[in-house]
Amino acid sequence: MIAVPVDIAQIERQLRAHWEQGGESVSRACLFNLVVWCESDADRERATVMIGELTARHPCRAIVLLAGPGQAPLSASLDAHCRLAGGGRKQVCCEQITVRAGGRSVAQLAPTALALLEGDLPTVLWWRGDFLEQPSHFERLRGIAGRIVFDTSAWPGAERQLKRLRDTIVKLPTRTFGDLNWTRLTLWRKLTADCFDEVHFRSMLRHIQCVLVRHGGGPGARVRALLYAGWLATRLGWTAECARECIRVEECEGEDVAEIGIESVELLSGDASAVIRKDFHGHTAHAVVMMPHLCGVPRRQAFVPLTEMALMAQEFDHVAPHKGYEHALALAASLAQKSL
Amino acid sequence: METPFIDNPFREGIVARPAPEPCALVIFGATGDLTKRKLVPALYNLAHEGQLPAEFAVVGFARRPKTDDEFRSEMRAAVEQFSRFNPLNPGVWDNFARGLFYHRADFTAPEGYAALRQLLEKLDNERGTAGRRLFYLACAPSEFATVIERLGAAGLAQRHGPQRIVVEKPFGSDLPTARELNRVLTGAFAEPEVFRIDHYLGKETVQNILSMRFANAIFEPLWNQKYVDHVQITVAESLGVETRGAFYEQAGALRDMVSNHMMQLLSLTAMEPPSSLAAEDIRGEKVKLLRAIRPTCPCSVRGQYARGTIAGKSVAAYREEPNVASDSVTETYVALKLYLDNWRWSSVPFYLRHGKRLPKQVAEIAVQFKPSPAVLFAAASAVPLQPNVLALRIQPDEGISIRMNAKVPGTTLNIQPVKMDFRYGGSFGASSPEAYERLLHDAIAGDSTLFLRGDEVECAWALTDTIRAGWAEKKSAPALYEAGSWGPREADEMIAADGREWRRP
Repeated sequence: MIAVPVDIAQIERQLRAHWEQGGESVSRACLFNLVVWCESDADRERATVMIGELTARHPCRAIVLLAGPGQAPLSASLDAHCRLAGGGRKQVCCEQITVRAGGRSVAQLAPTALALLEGDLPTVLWWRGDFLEQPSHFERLRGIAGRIVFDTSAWPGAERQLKRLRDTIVKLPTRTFGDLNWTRLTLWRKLTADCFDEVHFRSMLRHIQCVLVRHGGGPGARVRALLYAGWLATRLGWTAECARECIRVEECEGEDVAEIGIESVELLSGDASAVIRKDFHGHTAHAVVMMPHLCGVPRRQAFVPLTEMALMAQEFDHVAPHKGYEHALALAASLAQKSL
Repeated sequence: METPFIDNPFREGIVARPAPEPCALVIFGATGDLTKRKLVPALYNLAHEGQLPAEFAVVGFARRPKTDDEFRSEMRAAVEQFSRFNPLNPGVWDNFARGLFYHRADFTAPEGYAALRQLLEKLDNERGTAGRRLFYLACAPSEFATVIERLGAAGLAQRHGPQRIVVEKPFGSDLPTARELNRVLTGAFAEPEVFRIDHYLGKETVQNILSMRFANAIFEPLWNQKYVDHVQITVAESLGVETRGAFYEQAGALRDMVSNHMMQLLSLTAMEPPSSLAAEDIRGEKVKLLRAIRPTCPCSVRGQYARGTIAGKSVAAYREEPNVASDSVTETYVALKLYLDNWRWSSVPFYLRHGKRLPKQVAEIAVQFKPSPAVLFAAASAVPLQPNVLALRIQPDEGISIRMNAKVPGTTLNIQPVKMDFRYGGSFGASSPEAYERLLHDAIAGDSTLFLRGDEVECAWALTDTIRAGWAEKKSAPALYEAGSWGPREADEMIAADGREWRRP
């Protein structure tokens, strides 16, 4: 796969010619537009590798926007991501258009992307970085996408940004947002739910007095722990005030603390507890509910850390809004303010 | 804060289905191919995706002597070969393998079941399976009744208890034997605890028939006798009977394929919209559809393959296959014309055909619409306008295509059919879960939507028994067709008599 430089005004024509050249043996597949905002060439390279993998399951037209340094004029190149399908008889391909700009021409990235969108298909904006730090560019691009994906684990100082992030999301009710740091919590939330599918165990939920979330020093771990704690509080029907009183979010200590995201969560009432703990070396997570006179059934299940690409694939698999994220974010912001 | 928490508050917004409760799965016939190729790899895949509780246990029940460790080692090799997650994840495997056990016993010996009960009670204590058992009959059909009766006698089966049973097809060989099997099954287990598996229903593209029909507003208004001319359902195989000659001699194409897989395709294609996606609503609609099949003398043709050529290779006639009688009259091809006596499909013929040693492996449902009024283009066009066809391809190249008419570019009015094609492989590149993954997960979780109900099986057998009785009355032998052809001439004549022809998929 070699990127071919192309005249921006001729992109669509060149793409048509390219696909026609392939004849019957090449099929082009496209289910949505994916607009990717990158801020460095290294980041663009990483994104390109991921797009190549992601398009195998989620074919799309990828438009990668690179806002580089200096005064580079607008330029573009084309890539094709192909794989064999139909028992090796056919190639199924997706296209990637990379548009670069520097200095003043960065402002032209958004209108260029708008013109390149494949018509009548949904658009996902994948912002690789902190869009709150790029308000003018974000404002231009957010309008073209129905869904905006980002990763607060890659935001420097994200803990301080949670309230701003929540305010931004609230102002855009017609957009859905996907935070990969929230998606990383999927298994934790599932295990928490698994603990209380049994009706007898649900009786302890009324009496929970304290929630303890322990996390390591891995990227985004603190914010993730706050989001998790915020989610637990909202699901228990706690107010922000109650959450600040009853929830502790602690950093654990140890040699491999940098590798650890969330380490454990404990939901405690007077005589009952629900504990979910990750065993890093065994790649499993263990959940158990203990109540007086009730035998808790311990659960253990595989816990494979998800790569950024796997998280993106999950985002594309489940296009519905993330129920609970916005409320969890509001409480996480409140908990963050307490600890700052 | 005194919220009642009637429902689990943490479940809201979780996309994944709840993990089933820990349960012990007992596979009868654990040394067979099905266990090795399908069942254990599917269970491992579920564990890999976090859809099995870690306390899940599998007990292989078979006659051959083997230790737990030998069984684990064989299953590991099977998973390495047949799992879609390759290479194997050691962490997930170790956790999964700790729950694998082997129980050596004879299917007929009561003491084997008493020992099984002890093992399962031990697992209840050690792994928290709490009496939940799923018995999987992966053994020969002739052993079903023995195993079920022994389970009952050993106190391992209780009606309305926490046990379930999965039965592999064939569910009998005709209506009386199906009824007898249902009687034995429901003597030990209540009907909701019986899971009759037809792996066809686990295929994504078969499940997609319902999505395509009921999630798209453009098809359903046309899906009736007013707009549909006829429907063709084809399940073609290029393979012969291979090593299954002895089995096939007893079964034949009608019982092997038409009574189950093709009836599923027919009912999903033609059933009314269910009131919900609940198992009983969907299965109820399927049974209503099967009951609407006009019972009197469905037109049928049966055939048997003779020598021929497939993919450039000469192949033997059916009667020359191993374990097949040299004067066999077993059919390897069936073509049927059915009518459904209900409001929606009144007077619309459904043509079904299945055969072995046909030119290619293909399964599809083709809905052919009535022609458009011949007032505008018919006169101007050099060739007659082709009717629209919506084809649902089940395999290979799963997808949907629509044949429509379009003007050929140029100064003259030349209209030709074109095909608009949607391929799953082109749109969703990743591999789908194996049919058995979905079905096993559903059985463990107690969701019977994709399993056959007793009355559904009996309806299908009632139809095939009628057809067989008609063949017996005529005392005619199956028509021979050349291997590599699309079946006997009589099948072409059957559809041609209606002014139609078979599609060439």
